[in-house]
Amino acid sequence: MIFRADTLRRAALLALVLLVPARDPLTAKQPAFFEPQEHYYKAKGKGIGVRWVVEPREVQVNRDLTATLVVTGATNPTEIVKPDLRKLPAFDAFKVTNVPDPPRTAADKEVRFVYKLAPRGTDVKEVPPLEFFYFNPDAPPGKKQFPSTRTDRDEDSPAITVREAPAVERRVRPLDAPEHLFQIETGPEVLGRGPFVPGAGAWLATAAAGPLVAAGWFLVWCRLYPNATRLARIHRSRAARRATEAIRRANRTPDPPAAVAGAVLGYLRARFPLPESAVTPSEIEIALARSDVPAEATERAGALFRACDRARFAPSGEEAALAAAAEALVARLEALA
Amino acid sequence: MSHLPTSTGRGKSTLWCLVVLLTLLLPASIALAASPEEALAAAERSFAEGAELRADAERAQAAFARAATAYDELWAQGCRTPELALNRSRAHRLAGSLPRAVAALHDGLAVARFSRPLQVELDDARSRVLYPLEGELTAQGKSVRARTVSARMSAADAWLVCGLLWLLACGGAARFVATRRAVWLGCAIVCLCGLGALGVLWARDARERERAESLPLLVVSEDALLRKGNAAEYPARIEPALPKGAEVRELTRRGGWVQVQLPGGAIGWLPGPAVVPCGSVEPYRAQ
Repeated sequence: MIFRADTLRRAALLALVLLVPARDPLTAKQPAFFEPQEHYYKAKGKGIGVRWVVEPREVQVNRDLTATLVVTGATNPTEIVKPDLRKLPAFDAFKVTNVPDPPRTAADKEVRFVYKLAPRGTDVKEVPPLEFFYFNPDAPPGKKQFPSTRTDRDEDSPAITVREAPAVERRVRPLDAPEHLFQIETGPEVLGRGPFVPGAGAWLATAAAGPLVAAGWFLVWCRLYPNATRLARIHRSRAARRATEAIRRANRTPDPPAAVAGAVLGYLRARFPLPESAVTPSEIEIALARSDVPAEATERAGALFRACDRARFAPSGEEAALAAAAEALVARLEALA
Repeated sequence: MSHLPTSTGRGKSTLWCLVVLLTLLLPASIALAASPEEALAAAERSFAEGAELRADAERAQAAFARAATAYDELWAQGCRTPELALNRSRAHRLAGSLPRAVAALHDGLAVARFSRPLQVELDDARSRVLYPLEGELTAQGKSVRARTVSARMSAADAWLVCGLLWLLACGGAARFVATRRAVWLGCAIVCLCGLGALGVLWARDARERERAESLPLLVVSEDALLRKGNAAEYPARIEPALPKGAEVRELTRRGGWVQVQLPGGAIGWLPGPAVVPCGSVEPYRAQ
């Protein structure tokens, strides 16, 4: 059996009609060519309105206000996409924070999208208008199927007032510290060379200065006091030293003339071979002469002892001269050594 | 024969260019660097500003911190005097840094160990370190003032005293030679004994200082727990934590930690950032 071409064509058409399901004109796919690329959020309806509901109207910089985008007249409330304000340049003046929206049902008359907007400066005067395209299925195919609306068509403009944040009052407290810490050292010594630290040269110089100064003093002293030099030679003699000390102590004894005479006699016995029996002035003179003592020294010795005897038994006030004469005699005899 | 430029000729011209360049640049560089007098004046201005703002601690401490930084720079430049050390310490302390104040005082005492104002200031600063009232930490951690001859007498004073004693001894000996009187010999012997005693004290002090100060001195800059090892996982050697301002001696460093010895002899580890070395002149930055 051979089928005719027209029969085959009718069969194909019939198959197409039967196999392709029927579509609701309202859910028919929109032609993509005229669909707006921006500000289209999948809303559908014959006349959709959008408005902002702002709370509060007065806010500080960087503080949040609640902005609710209310969409009314949509026939597909559950399919509308929440606009992402962060991608819109008009909302750069705000810091946008998304807030969970209330649940939506297909029977809702209006859709609410909630945002937290924090103005970044005081020059922000309103929440910017939002362009809102929607799909009108009753419109003839083409561009007119995607009309737009704006939030600022409402008489109630979402004007806001942004205030400067009040200055945070800093808690002022005084600096607690002892009073002496607030005083500092001033003057040239602050930048001085620091404390003087003697080096090795200073120590060596000091070590050498001691003996040098002492030696220099000794030489000067010898030059200034020659008799004293002789006296110093005398003092090298122990006997002479003892006699001299005894003579000088004589004033403190009860009988100074006797002490002077005793001191000189002791010296003579220690320095010269005086016999123990020589106690009178004459005997002493004779003993000294035998020891080859010069006559004048011998006579001075005899005169001294006689003067001591006179002073002991007949005081005449000349006792003070006895000590000097005794010392001079000792010095004279010591010089003979 | 053509005359070719010799290498020595080129070298000479290069050398002259360098000399001219240096001559032009050197005065400029010298002019840019602040003189010590200017730096001191700036430090004193900042200090005075801080003193005027003492009713507002925050602003005053900022001014004192600037003064402390300026004083630190002067110290780093080589101006090492007890007066500068004292100013530096007070600026740090008023800026809120007790550890750096203690370190500055030790720097000053290293220069002038005998300085009484520095010693008194250090005692006062140590009294502000928050040790517990009693316990092992207090027994181990508290430093005591050195009471040695070098802490009471400067090297110059010792030199003068020694010189005087030596002079008197030599003079006494010379007088004894001249007069043969025992009293002068006794005087010379007494002076020599005094000289010897002073020498013994100084020698002993020098030996003790060499032993005690052979280890670098550190000051704890923040409360830190002394641990048994060089990691935070190790248990504490002593509790509670060492207060800031405590003085310790550095033994060794490893892995960002410092092994230290307390004045009482206890040894442990502290984190490296928790200590400030004496002699450090890193610029102080107010917190």
